[in-house]
Amino acid sequence: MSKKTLTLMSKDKQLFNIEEHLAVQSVTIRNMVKEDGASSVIPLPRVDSETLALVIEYLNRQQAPEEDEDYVKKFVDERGEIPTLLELAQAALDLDIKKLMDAACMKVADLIKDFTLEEVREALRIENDRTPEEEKAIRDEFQWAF
Amino acid sequence: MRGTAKDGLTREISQMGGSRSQRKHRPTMATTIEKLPDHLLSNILVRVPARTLAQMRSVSKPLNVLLSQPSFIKTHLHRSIKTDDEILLVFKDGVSSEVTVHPSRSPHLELPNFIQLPVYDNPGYECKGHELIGAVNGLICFSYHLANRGYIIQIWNPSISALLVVPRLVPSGGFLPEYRFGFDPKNDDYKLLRHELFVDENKPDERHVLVQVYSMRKRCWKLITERFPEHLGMFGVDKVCGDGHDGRLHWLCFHADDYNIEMIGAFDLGAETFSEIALPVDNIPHGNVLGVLGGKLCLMSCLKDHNFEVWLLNEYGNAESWAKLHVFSLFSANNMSPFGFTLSNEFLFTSSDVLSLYDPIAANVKSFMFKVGRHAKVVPYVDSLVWITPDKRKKKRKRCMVPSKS
Repeated sequence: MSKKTLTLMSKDKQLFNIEEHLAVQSVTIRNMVKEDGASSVIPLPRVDSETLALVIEYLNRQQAPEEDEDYVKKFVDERGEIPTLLELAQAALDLDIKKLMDAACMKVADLIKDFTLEEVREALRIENDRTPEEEKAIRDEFQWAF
Repeated sequence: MRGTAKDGLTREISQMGGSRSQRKHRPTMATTIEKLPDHLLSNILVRVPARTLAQMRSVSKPLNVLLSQPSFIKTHLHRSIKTDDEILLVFKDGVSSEVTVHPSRSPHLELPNFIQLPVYDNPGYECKGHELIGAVNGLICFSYHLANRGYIIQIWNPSISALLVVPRLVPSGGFLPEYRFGFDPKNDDYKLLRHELFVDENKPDERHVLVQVYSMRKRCWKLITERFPEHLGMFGVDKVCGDGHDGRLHWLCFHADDYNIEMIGAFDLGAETFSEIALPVDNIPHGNVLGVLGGKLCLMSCLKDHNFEVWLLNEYGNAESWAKLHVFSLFSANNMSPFGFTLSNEFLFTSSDVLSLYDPIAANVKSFMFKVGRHAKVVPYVDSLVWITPDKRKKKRKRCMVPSKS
C-alpha cells in the first residue's frame, strides 16, 4: 500500500505535498483529516508559502526522538531573523505543532530580552502609543524594575 | 501548554474567515503595520524573564495590559516553576547568615552576584543579617535584623526588585513569636502568619496562643479569632518552606500533653481555621521534615539504618491515604538528617551537616560540598511577576490593627 499524500495550500495559493503520517504531527491537520476524511487540498489561509515550506521541511525531518529536541533548536537557530521566526511561530501555533511553536517562541524571547524598548517595538510590531510623559510616569511607577 | 495549543486551534478556526478585530478599544493604533495577535505575543512573552517584562510595560499601553493580566502572570509563573534548571538559594544558618545561590543540577557550583538581599542604607539601621521566613511563587519573606532595633519583616520579589515592609505590631508581651509565609489562592493573596505564646506566671500550665495574620492585599494585620487548638504543639522548624503553596501552612509538632506523639498542624489561610493530620505510622522516628512533592504534602524521615523513607499524603487531610513513596539507603553517609524537597522533586538531606541533593529518578547524590548550620534554609529562586498591590477599597482598612510606630 502506498503512503497517502496530502496537499496543503498556502495563503498565496501555492500547493505543497506531504505524506499524511508526517502532516498529522500538526494537531490542526490531524483534526481536519479526521473530520473531512481524505479531502484533496487543505487550505491554510494564514500561512504564506515561504513559511509553509519551512514547516514542511520541519515535518519531513527524519530524526530519532532523542535527537529531536536538539534538531528543532538548531532548525530555528538557523532561521534567526525575527520576522521569519514570528511567521514560523504563528504558523506553528495555528497548526498546533507544539515543539516547533515552543522553539520558535523561545528563540524570539531570547533575542528580544536584551533589546531596548524601541527595538522591542520594532521587533514585535508595536506602535509607541505613550507620550514621553506617560513613559516617564510608568517608569516611576515601576522604578524598581529599572 | 496543552491549553494554549487548544486555544490556538480555536482561534485559527474562528479566524479562517480572516477577521482580526480584537483591538477595537485602540482607535489610535496605526493600520500600516500588521499587528501580531495577542495569542502569539503572549506565547513569546511568557518566555521572557520577569525583570525584562517589567521594563517592557513602557513599550505600549496594550502591552502593559497584556503583561498585567493575572492569567499571563500565572502562565509565566508556572513556566518558571517547571524549569529544568532550578536555582536554589541557601541561607546557611539563622540570622546574619550567608546566602549563596546554586544550580540544582550542579549544586557544588556557586552563582555569585545572582541576587543581592535588600539592605537599608539609613545610618542607625545597621544590618545584623537576614533570616528567611518563607518563599512561595517567587516571593521571599524574611526578617531583616537591625543592631539593637529588633527586626523588620519584608516581602520581596527579587525578579522585579519589588519590596514591601510589613508594619510592626505593638509589642504584646508574649514570647517566641514565630512566622510562616504562604499563598492564599482563594483570595489571590500572600499572607504572613504570626504565632505568639503567652504563659501566665501563676498558672504555668495554662498557655495561650495569639495568632495574627498579615495580608499583603489588605496591607494590614488581623487577629485570628479561632482559638489555637490546645493540644497542638508549637511550630517546628521549616527548612525548605515548600509549604503554603496551596493556601495551607503546615508544621510538625508534638502533642502538647504527650511529647511522644508527633503530628502535623495545619492552618488554612483562606478560611483562617486550624486542623491537624496524623502521621503515617505512630512510631515514626523523630527529626522528620515536611514538604511538598508534586503538589502533595509529604514527609521524609531517616531510620537508624541509613534508610530514608518518603511518604506522600495522597488525599489531603486523610491520614489513611499516606503511602510510602520512596525508600533509599546511603550507606556511605554518616549522621544523616532529612532536610526537605525541591520544586524539581529532589530530596535534600545533610550528612555530617554537609548539604546534599538526592535525585530519586537517577538514584544519585549531588553534594553542595559545604556544611550548613542548624537553622539553615533552602528555597527555590522562581522568576516571577507576582506582586500584590493593595486593595483600594477604604472600608476594609478600618478593620486593620494599628501597627506600632517604632
